[in-house]
Amino acid sequence: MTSPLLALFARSLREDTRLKLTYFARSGLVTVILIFMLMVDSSGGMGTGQGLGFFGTVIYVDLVFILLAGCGYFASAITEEKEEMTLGLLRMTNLNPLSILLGKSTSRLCGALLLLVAQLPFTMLAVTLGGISLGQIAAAYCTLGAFLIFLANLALLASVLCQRSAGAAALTIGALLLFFAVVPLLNWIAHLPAQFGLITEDAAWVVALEQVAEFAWKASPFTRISEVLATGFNDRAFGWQAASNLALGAGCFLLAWLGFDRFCEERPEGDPRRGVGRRRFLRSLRAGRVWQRALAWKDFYFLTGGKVWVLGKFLIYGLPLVVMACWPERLGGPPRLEAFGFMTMVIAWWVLTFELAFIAASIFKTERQGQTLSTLAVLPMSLRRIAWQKLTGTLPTLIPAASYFLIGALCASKTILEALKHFPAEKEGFSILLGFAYAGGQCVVFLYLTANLSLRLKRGALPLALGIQFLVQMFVPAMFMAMASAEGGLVLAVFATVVAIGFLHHNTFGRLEALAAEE
Amino acid sequence: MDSENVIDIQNLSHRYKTHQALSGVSFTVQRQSIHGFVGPNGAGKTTTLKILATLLKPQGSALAQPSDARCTSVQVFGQHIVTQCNNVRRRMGFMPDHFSMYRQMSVFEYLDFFGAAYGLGQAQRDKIIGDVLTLTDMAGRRDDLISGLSRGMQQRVSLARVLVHDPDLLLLDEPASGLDPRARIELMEILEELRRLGKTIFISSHILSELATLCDHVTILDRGTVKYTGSMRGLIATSDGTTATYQLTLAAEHPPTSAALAQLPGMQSVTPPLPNEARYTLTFDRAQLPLNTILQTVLAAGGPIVSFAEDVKHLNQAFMDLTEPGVGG
Repeated sequence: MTSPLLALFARSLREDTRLKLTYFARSGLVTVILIFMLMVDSSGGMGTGQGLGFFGTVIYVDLVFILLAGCGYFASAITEEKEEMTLGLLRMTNLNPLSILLGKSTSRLCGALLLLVAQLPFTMLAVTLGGISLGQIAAAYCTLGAFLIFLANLALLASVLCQRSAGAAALTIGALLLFFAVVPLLNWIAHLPAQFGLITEDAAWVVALEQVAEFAWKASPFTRISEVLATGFNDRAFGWQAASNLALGAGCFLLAWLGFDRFCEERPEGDPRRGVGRRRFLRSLRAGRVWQRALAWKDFYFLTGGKVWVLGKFLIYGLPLVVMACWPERLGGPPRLEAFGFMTMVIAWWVLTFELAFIAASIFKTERQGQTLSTLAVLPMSLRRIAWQKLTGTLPTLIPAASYFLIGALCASKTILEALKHFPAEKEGFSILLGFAYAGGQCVVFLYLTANLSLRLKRGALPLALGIQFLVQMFVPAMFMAMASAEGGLVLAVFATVVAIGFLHHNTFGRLEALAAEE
Repeated sequence: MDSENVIDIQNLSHRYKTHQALSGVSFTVQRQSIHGFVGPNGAGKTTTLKILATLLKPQGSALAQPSDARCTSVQVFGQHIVTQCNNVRRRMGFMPDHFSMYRQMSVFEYLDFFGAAYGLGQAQRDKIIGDVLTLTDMAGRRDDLISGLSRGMQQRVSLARVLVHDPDLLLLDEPASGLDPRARIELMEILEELRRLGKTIFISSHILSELATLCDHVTILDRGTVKYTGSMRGLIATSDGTTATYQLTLAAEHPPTSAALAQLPGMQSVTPPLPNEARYTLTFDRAQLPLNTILQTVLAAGGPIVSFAEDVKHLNQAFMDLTEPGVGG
């Protein structure tokens, strides 16, 4: 293990072994599994098929966490060195690109695989609950393991190609979307010319595209898991999905290795005036001078991209809506105004959520990374006011998505007004309002949690916050409902949400003060 | 509180979980002075500076009056740093020991941003940014991106940022660390200029000789306790009693001068110069032999004086005598 090739890899494994967090993560995962088991036990005793339900839940939770880890944990393997400008130092040593890749990414992959192995003895108990066999458990873990290897190496490739962790995470998400959406997309593309009557359905390239779509369908872990968890499964544990995922993972690793020198070379210290001429146009779109609310100005231009990016978002978000509105009659025509409005609202809502999550994850993280918290903390204003000013600077970036949401609401106004007119009064209406309050409160909890974690973790705050929120939503509402009546449970859940917001608010500012003093 | 004192710290202690960083630290900093804050690594300098900069809250009864010697009191411009922290922050500029910059901004944007954050109007900012850029010799670089500047230039921009709201007190945490000799000298020149402009400068360093020519007063801290606080001259007196050591450099070796000096009452030794170097080391009783008598003797003997300065090695010796060996825990 002393060869230069494995030096970094061995060091990373040793560091992981010494980290308390490694053991907390494993214990946490096992605790979650035991809670699942407890829930299965309390809900229906040890009846037939309980094991399948329990095991299915665990496997899908694992799959969600693997997806989140791919976007956060694995995608920052190389970019974190680029951001901290330490990649050059690594390359000055005897380490070649292969050893850096093995050390930075494969060690993380080993850690994640060990997390899966750690839960194996506990999930084996599912066999005793009934409805599932050892063969199915082995096949499911083969599926997860192979997908994990593929995703880790896909994220590694993105990390090599991109300069920033956020870019690498976005590229990984984009590639994954392409991977999962490739089936319907290719099918749709393949049949598009035939629908226009340009070619026949059995044209060679249509068939070829259909075959690619078939490959993608079979390579998807979701497809494989649903097959594995079906009653009567008796296939081999190591199937086509595992083989194809491993092959894709190896391909991504190979590409990362080949592209390492090209994309990870040290950027020379350039002329400090660089980009001044090139960005003259962009700068002309800037306000130029700092606003009186200086922190808002800074975050508007340097965190969210400024006016240029707001204009860009109007175009980017508007494009799919224009396509939807101008959909050709031959392909079914555009949706009705009301349906168009609701679709726009849903898309804009998701975009808003994503943007808010990004803001929460980066609003303090950038200050922490740049070690600028101490200079902000000595300004003659409280940290709360500083945070508020920073937040107001990020809000204009939400204008495009919010505008499209309002446009959608206007298009669907007839149905919305109708629904409001028939809003149930008294008890039922109160419950619905409580439900909305709980949902809104949980959104705020999620944003606070993301911001708080970004002050504690070097990477992966957003995926971890998503994971925690996912688990909380699985257990907490059910727990409150079990403690009281439906309405009483909701009141308790809203109360707990308010307490959580208060705690996170206080804790986040406490952490900010501590970090400013630590710098 | 004495109005001449800008900083007044009494009995300050600070503890990090298992490590006592400061124990009963007391000292004052006079108005319009350059006060050096010296100590080895881990002595507690940065902790003290962070408390003064209002980043860390002083532990214990920090709201007591300075007259109460038993209680902790930290006052800047006569104001409590906890209860009146915003007033203190307006009159103070803090430069941490690391580069705390928005590297994607240009020099002007960076200074304009901090000017606005301190509540200055646009016209006021324009004037003061022009002034501080001239003072720090960065006027020609105002549109450059900070990320493209050298370390020395970034340090100048940091100093310009500290000055942008025209504070009366500057807290500088090891501003010369990592700078090349030329940049260090230029930085010291800027600090001299700032003193002339009426600023009070509290500057930390772990090298006493670096501050020897710059500071009027010095506080030496070791393992969280003050080992010395007072004037630079007093420091040397503390270490050597009444004995002083000076370096006399002549244009060429001049035996009559050395002979005349050796005859002076109170002169203890005149060390002969090294070959090809006309530099004499004079050790004498400070009380018995005034400096002007020495200079008059040299001139009377026809010695071609190039320089006459206190031996800096003695400051280092004083520092070594006051501080304990090893790294402060």
